Amino acid sequence: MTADGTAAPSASGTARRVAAAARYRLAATLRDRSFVAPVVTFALVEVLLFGAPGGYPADNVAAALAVGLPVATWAARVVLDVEPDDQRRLTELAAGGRSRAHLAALVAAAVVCLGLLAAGVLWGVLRNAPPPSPRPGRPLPPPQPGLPVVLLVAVVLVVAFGLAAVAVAAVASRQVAGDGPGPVVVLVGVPVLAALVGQSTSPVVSGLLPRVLPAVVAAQDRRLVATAPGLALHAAGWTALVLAAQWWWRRRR
Amino acid sequence: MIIGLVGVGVRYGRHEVLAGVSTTLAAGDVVHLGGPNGAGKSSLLRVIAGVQRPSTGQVTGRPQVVAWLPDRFPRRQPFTVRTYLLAQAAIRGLRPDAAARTVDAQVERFLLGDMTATRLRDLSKGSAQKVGLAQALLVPPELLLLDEPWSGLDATARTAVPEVVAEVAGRGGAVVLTDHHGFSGVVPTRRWGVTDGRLDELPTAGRTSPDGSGAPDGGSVVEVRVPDAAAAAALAADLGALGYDVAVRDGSPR
Repeated sequence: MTADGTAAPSASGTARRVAAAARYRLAATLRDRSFVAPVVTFALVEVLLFGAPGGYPADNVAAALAVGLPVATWAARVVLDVEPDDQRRLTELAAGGRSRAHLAALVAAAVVCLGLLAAGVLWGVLRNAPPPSPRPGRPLPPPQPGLPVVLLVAVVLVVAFGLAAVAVAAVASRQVAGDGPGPVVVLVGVPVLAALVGQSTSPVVSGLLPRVLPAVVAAQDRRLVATAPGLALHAAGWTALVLAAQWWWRRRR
Repeated sequence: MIIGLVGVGVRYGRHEVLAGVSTTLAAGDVVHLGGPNGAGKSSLLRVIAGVQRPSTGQVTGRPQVVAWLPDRFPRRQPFTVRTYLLAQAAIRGLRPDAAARTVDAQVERFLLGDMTATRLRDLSKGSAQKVGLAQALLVPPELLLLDEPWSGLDATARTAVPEVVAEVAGRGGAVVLTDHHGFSGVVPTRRWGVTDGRLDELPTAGRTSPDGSGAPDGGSVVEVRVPDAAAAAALAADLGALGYDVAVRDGSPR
């Protein structure tokens, strides 16, 4: 303690300060009404998707990811921009730098995104129906992977697509991308919009997207397990690319 | 040197607010930053604090612990006063027990004891300003930037500001403050003026004369004894608003 009653800062600082800033942001998010809308939307979509038992686990994983990604992105954006601008600046000072504050914001957004996606995927997996009996004269459906394998794949994909959602939200947020939308927002927004409305036929645009729809297609073709590593790798690379682009843009301004 | 600015400029779109600002701050500096509305005072404070990047130029040697009070403390937050201050103390790196002690000390100092459970959004402007001052002092700052710190403060709380400024400067830190209401008891060691995007170093009326006599540069000194600190702060504010240089000191026998 110093003479005036304030305490000197402890030495082992960075991780604890980032964790404290992330907790502060999560607490602000949970108390803020703007967080209700994406959560309610997410719950409604999940009820519509999985209200009645049906589908194979792998199908449900892909479907939960496909509908969960945009809502998780929305929720992440709420988390990232929950602070008023001057409070954002105060938090940067308190955390000891902009980088620490940004890291804390991204961690908090990732916690929310991963939580939402994991909840959706888990519900989808648990609500699956037993596979239908083969009909006479019809070819047998391809064998389904076991539940442990599906769960493992689901974890990998939830992490990959959750981080992709954080990256999209970060590019569009005042906290990370600055005070106004830049060209990076447009560059990312267009392909994301294309991903939401349908599969793009352009290989360039398709390469810029986290491959949600290919995941759905792969699940329908019973290839989700086989293609999951590639999908996750693509999403991780895409996330790194987007975050690097926004970092470059921010440094340039 | 605590911090240095070299050729700093701030531009919002095509509107250039500051250009070619070069200066330094040394240990013990207490700077009054003046200028008309919209001259760029708040922008300059944000650049010095490090919460706004300059459009041009660079800032060197910023100390580790910097505190800043914006001209309007952001009240629209879903926390109570105590929860907010504890969270900010944790982000500053204080462990829970140290954070609680520090928050208690600041709450007592700024007379926030009755408001610790009040939500920030329900605070008056003056009370929110006190919370802003408290968060700025959770860890002793080496550089303290105050944007209109007296705005909305009651007479009792006003006396705390000169004490805070003196503490920071006395520890070897530096303080820059803006104030449209007179200095309210703070005696600046330097004055900056911002006009047309330029920063000028202005003469300080209270500075001792070059001949070493200790008398201020020109004018006369009137000493006034008042019954308590609150009355001193109120009088200082009134005289400051009239353009006089005012210094408040403890009147107990030496």
